[in-house]
Amino acid sequence: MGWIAYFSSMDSPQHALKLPDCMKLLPEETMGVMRRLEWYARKRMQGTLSGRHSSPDKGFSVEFAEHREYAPGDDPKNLDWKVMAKSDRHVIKQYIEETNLRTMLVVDVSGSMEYTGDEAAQVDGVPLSKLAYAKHLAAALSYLFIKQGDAVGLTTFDQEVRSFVRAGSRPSQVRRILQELHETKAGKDTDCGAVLHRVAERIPKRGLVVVISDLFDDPDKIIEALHHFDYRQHELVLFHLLAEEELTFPFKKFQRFRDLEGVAEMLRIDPQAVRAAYLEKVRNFVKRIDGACGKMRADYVPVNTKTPLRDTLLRYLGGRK
Amino acid sequence: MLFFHPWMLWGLVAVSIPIIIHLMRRQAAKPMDWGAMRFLMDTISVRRRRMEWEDLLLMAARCLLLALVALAIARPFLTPDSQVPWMFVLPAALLGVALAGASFVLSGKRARWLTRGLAVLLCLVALSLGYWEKIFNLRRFEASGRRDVALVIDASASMELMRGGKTVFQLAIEEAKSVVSEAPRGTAFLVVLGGPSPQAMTASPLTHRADVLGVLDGLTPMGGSFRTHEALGVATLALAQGTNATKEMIVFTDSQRSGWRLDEPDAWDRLDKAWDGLPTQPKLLVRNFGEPNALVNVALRSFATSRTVVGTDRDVTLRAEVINTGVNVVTPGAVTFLVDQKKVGTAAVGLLMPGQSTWVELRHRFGKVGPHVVSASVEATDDLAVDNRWEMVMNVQEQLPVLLIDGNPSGSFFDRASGYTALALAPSAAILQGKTAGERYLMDPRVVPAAQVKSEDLEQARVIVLADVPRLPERLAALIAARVQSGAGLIVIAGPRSEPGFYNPWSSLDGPLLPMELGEEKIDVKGVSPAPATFVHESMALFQKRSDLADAVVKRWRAVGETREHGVLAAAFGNGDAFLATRLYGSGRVMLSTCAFDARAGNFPARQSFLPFIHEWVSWAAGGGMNWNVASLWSPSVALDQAGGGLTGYYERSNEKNSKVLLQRTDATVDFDWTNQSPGKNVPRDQYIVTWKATLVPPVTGDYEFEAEVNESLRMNVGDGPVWQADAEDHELGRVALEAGKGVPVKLRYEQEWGAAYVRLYWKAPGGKRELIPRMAWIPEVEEREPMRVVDPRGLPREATILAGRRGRELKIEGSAMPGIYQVHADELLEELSGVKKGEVVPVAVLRDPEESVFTSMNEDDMALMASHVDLLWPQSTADVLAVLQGKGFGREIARWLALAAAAFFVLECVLARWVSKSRRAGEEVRVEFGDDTIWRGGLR
Repeated sequence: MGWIAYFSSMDSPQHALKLPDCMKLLPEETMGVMRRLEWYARKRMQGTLSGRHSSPDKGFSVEFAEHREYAPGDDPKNLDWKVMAKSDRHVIKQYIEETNLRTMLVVDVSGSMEYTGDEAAQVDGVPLSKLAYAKHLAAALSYLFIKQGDAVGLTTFDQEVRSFVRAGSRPSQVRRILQELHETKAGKDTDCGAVLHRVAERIPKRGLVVVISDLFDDPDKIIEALHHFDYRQHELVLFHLLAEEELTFPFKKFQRFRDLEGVAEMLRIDPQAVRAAYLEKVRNFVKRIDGACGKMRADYVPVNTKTPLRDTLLRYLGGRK
Repeated sequence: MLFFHPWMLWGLVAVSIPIIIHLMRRQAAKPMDWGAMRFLMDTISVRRRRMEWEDLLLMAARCLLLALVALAIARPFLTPDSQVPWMFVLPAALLGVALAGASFVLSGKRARWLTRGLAVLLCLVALSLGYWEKIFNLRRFEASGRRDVALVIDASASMELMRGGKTVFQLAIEEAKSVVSEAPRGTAFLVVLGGPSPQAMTASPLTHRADVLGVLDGLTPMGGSFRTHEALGVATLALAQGTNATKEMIVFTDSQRSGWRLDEPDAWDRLDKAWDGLPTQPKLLVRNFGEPNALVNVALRSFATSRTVVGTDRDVTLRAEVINTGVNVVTPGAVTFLVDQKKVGTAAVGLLMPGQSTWVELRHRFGKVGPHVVSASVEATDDLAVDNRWEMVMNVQEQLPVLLIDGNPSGSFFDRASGYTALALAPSAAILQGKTAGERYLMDPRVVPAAQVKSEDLEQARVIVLADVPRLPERLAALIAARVQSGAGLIVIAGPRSEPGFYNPWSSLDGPLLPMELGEEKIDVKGVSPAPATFVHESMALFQKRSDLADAVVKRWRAVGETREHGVLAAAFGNGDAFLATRLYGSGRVMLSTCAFDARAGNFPARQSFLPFIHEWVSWAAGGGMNWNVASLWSPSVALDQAGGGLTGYYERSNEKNSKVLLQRTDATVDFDWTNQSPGKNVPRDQYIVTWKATLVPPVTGDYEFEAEVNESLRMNVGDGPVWQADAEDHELGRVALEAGKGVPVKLRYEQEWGAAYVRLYWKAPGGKRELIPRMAWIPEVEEREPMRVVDPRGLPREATILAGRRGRELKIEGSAMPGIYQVHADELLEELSGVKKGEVVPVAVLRDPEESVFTSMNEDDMALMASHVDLLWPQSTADVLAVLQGKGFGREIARWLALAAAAFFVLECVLARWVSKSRRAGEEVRVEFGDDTIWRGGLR
């Protein structure tokens, strides 16, 4: 387990200065949690993936699936000799392809993700914007999957796909992903629906898709895109990031709201006047996404950015058990 | 809309307070980067309209609240007849303010500027209109510092109405006094006491207040009606005497329409024109004391006798009409009738509903000949006491001379229309032999054959009956016309002999004498009867029911044409042909019968009703003429009709150096044939000079030719023109253009030497024929006489004179015609003219105006009519009047209403603000559930 040693070596303070900036996305605290979750995660993985993931440590392997009648042209090496001996029937042994889990982390880096808010969780005393939160979350998850030996890739998007890291399961993959995340800056407007469609197309085989986004787009389009994942038989986990202020709208005085995505013009309103209607809108939106996810048996994970990252991971991964 | 404290309008700046607060709040808004803009935008797009409306209403309410308070503090008032409708200015200003406030709330840029522009426009319009009105008001009220003010005080009977222990007149005087004492310094006052004859109590406007107050203190009500136009005319004349340029008129009156001549726009035109003569158009301030609230009033509306000509030989019915002009049901006491202040009887009056009237009657026979004061009074405790009494004068006749001119004297009694008539008037055979009917009998008929009629006979008769007269000489016809013109009665009985060729063209100053054109005789063997249904005339009222006139059969009658102008059909036959027709002619009366009252015509004279019929008609015909009762107009004047017109003749000797007037008299016309006789007392038979002086009043405009038939010479001088002369050979005098109604002085000089003396003066009017100049065309030169003493109804002395006019002479009592009885001490001229003995006291009654008892207030149209002619104001209090005199103008204050509106807006603002904040705070409880559980529950699904 060389990569563990590699990561463990980073724990020592003398190496801290040498640590690349990208590694800040994976602080010790998170790694600690990830390490502890290792076992549960694997177990859960097996449970969740129902046998597709039976022996991850041995690399490629096969598991018996079913018998079928021999037909001319079949490779005789696949004949089940034991059955032939017992019942004098020619059957062919069929096996489920054994594969490791291919995970794609899909991170929204649109402008709206840059919102921080006063109550956001902090890392090293710096409040996390939704984007930062998403990066940390992606980093932690990629670490988790690589640690489990699964393949993990990364897609970032705003209006379009900004970067794409092919899934890989080598330990260095974490570094690549971290590097990519670190270099990603907030982009422009979100076009969540269209981009997710494209992402769904791009993932070649069935796999796990983890979407981390605030989903500030037309909910119809989003839900349609999520259905696309479902249709491709990807398993979907949706981390929905929202800041506390976006959920409570606590403002009292006149505010000038400036669009982070730079699309809408500045809005000067009395927040109290719109609070109820706004919250109603948010609630409906959340409910809608939640409902859609429930229908397609995707995991919908609402994440308020005021919740520390650690709690979020513990809560979700613990809950999945 | 004007303001008492216009500078307080700066308070309107306060309107900006809520706007500034709003702007500050907005400006304080911090910018914030926001991610969930999508939801915010969605929310806004849904809520914006409503939010905007809420904010808009709130802001408008706040701005209006402050604007209303500011306006109320400036104390606006509405001038009563403003040129600028405040209903436009005030809403425009308020709407402008509201829009201005609202414009700061709107989010749309275009809408904001549009609203702001509209607000500015509205405010500017309101401001400029307000300013315009102020300028207008300045021009109207502040023309110059000092004023001449006419205080016209209504002194009519209705002003004696009691209100709160005082009469309205007293209230008016009090208010006038307070106006005088509080008016700005230098205001000059003039007092006009309005009544039937308005009097200026001060000749010119007085500046000294004590003098004016003294004059006001001395005023007493005059009674009668308030003749507004005359009062304003008097005030206009007196105001013209004032030295100040600005003139005002204040009329203190009650709410009574009569007297204002509101049905005659021309009268108001004339007033307007009269005011053009003043340096500035005066304002007419009508201080109206209003109508009584719950009037309790019983009045005698009229008082009459059943017959106008009353003698001592028969009863007369005195009739009084009692009316309830109040608003409650009343039962007045009895009506008491008095003759010469002695009670002669009473008559009870029943219950009277509001507005209801009833007649009460009493039969009475007068014992003494001469004028009597007859009065009726109703016992009632009511608000207006003066109208409970009615006084009038009845001249009880000794005898009524009736001249019957018989057109068929040679016929048998049964063929003579005059015979039956004379017999009906005085049932005595003696009269046919030329004797009189007797001392105590009113009717005094005299029958004269047509051929023997002399002008003296005509002079004495009160009623002239032409009984089947074929035609009369031109001179007599003209004389009869003149007699009728001056008050005598004429009854024309058109029998078979009457010639239409004479009657139809017979005309004088007032047009044709007969009411209808006479036609051919109609004969019907079966005959026709008078139809009682057509008896509409007052003299026929007696025969409408229970008379045998309808049984009369008339076989011969005269067809007549259509009724002429002023002619009235009095009765008709059953077949529709006219039976009787009448007309009023000058001050006399004419009656035409289309059938002769004799046996040839039918059995009419044999009816029982014939006698009263003749009496009624003779009485009616005699009813014109002198009447001692006069209406309450200007100064009381009694027409002494019998001697109208004529020329004043001065008779003197021609052969003396220092000639002196031997005889002075009024001659009806210049139409004399003295031959060798003396023209009159003290004048010799020969060698005399007559000078006639008079004013000639031509009836129409045009060229007049004058001619004279004269022995020796007649010289004539018309106005300033040359002296014309006519003699026995040359009849022509001259030709001159004259204007209708405009009198020119004429001087005539007739010189007689020897021999036959005759002189006749003719004229030829434009479009007319040559005729003697009628009496009515002349106004005699009046000699100066000592005025007669008169005691007026208040017991104060007055004077009366006899004035000569074209229509006759009249007895004129100086001073205002306040209703009541005037005692005139007659002199010899009055004796000559009226038959009252010299030295006797003649009562003259000025009748009350019954309209004064009824309170009819002016309506909108009346006010509009007045306002269209004069600068009219309706001040409601002394303060209003003073405001005008101070050059400020006045009006109804609306500060209170504005304050109320402000209070309403305050409440509205509170409610609105609370409601808005409540509806917005409704979102506080809303929470979004978003992964708040400590354990993720997604896996449990």
